[in-house]
Amino acid sequence: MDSTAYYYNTILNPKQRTDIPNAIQFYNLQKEKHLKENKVYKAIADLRLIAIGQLHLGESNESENTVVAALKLIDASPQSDTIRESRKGLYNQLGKIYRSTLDYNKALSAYDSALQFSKTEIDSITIHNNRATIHKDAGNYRKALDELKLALAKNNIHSNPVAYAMVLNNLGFIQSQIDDPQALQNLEKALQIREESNYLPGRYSSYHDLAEYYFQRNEKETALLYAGKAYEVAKTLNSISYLEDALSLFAVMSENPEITAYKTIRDSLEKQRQLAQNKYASVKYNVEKEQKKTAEAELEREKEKSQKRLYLFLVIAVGLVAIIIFKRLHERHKREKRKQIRQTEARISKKIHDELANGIYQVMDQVQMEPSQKAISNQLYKLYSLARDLSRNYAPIDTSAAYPQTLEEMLTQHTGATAKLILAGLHEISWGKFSAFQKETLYRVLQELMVNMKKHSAASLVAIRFEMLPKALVVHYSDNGKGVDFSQTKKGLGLAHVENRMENIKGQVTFGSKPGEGFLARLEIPL
Amino acid sequence: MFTKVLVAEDMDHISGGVERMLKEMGVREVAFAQYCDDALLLLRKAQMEGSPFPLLITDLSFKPSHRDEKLKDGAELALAAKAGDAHLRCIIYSMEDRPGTVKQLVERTQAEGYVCKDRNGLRDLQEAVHRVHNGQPYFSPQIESVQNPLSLTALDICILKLLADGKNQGDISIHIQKNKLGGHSRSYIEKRIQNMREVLGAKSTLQMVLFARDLRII
Repeated sequence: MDSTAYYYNTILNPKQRTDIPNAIQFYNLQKEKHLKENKVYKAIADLRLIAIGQLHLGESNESENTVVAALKLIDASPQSDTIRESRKGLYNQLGKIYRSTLDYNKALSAYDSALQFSKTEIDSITIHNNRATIHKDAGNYRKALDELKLALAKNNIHSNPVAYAMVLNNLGFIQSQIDDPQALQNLEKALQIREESNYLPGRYSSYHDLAEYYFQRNEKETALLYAGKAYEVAKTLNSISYLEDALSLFAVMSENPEITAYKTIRDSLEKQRQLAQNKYASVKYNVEKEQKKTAEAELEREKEKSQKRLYLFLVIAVGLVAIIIFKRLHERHKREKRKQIRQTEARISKKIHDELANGIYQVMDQVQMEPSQKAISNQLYKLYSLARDLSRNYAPIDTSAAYPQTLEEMLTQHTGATAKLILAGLHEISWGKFSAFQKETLYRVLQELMVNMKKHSAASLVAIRFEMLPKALVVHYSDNGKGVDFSQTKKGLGLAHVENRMENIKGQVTFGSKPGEGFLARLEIPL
Repeated sequence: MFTKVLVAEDMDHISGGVERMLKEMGVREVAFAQYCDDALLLLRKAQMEGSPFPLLITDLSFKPSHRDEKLKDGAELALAAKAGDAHLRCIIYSMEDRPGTVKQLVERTQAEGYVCKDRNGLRDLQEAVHRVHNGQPYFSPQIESVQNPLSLTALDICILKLLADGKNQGDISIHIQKNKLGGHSRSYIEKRIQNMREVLGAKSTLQMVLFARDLRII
């Protein structure tokens, strides 16, 4: 006998309960193997056998889980006839499980599902019969009878003697419970069919039920006769559950009141034990489920936590991007504005030059040849110079390669003939490293300092030294003029402009001066 | 004297003054253009008719017109005009009086004269026309008179620092030679010191160093 057949028989017809765990283990391995080989149908069959084994062991919850697992496997695989067949078997098994846990409603609906998937009439006969059994267990004999009549109404029930006898026997048994006169006739007919075939479990069932029938009707001799026959079949079957069942018949029918009492108590104990076991299994199952749920919740929390972290990260990232975009836009806006200012300044500068200065020049031109108008001519020249300087102060600054010349030009212009200008390092600086805006700013700032110098200092020497540090350009301005006392005088508008302009290019400026000691400024422009 | 002169100037009153002055000098024909493009057209036309203008007097800055001007300012006009007529002479007559800028402009345009419009503008222009007619260049006195700044080189600063440290010229010469700072001959160093003293208006080398220190040059 090969191992597959041995384990198969162990599951379906266990001689000893202790053999079952090994068989379950065998089918577990088979299932894994079949799943790896992608033989889903076979894996489902394995699971069904495992479920049957588990039910034999009284592990109804485990068994139920196994069936559910198998049903899920079916749902996930392509549908076929063989799959349909397995569904019927699995729901049937589910019915058996619920019957064992005395959960009649669930059992009935499981059989209903099984009925939906049954293809042959024999299958539906079996299922109707099973439903009838449940009704019988629940004490609903009428419903049981209706179910059995549905089974008997099937056309080809007569062509399957085993099924026919089973239904007939059940019918007879239920009729006997409600004292239907046809009961005995049906029980005997079933026995007759079963004696003709060699199906021992069927025969046992008939003997057993006939024994009970006669016992209930106080015909003890006949009852004992059938009980003996049942015991003989059980011995042939060599199955402990059959043997136990057969022997219990004798206990029930015993003349000895202690034995019958023992039997009653044993049955009631057994029932209690079953209920307790159900309850325990259920609790155990619930605990496991709870543990699983806790683990899942833990996992979920972990997931949520990392999701939260992700969201937080995203929010921060979006925020940073928004800030960067905002800064860029702001920067661009500022650049645009500066450009507009430069354009406006250039326009005004040109207008002052072309219209105002030239207008004054026109008048000056007319009077310059008249020696009598010399005072007016001088006045006009002052006005003209003012207008021209104004125009120049707002003229666009050349920040291209000619920048150092442009800058030197402006500085020379301001020192003019009155002060000497000393420059150091101006032409050694790589001006290309600085932006147009930075160069413009430096130009305007130095222009402002020169205007101040011209206006207030009466300096005769002005030195401007350009020094390139690794990360900044430093411009030292100094003159030997009157100087100012910062503790006495407020900084003029000009110096405030210088500070503002340097701030706009993120540069730094410091002034230093004392009365009689000249004026110092240190400008730092970052690269 | 020039027989005919073209004046490119968009201010009528200035044109009037210039015309009066030129007529007084004996110029028979004075033509005017308000825009650079027009001025160039007039020059070309006269050239084609066989009686080109020998002199162009032009302003630098012109009011923008409603037209799309090809030549944006007097400098461009001077360049284009001289390119079209090798004999043409040109005087720029402008308010621009920044020496460096003027120097660049003259170099670029190869103008024979540059006159600043100021109190003495017309008189200077008169002088300029005379000189240019005699084949000499002319530049307004304020352009020529401005002093150039003293540009201190790294070597100059090094010399000042060494002097401040109490080194004599011999020591300085040796130091510069050692550190390969260039121009280390004693006479050269002496020349630099002399130059700096003059510009700073210092009576002695000591005072020069003091001035340089006060001015934060060192």
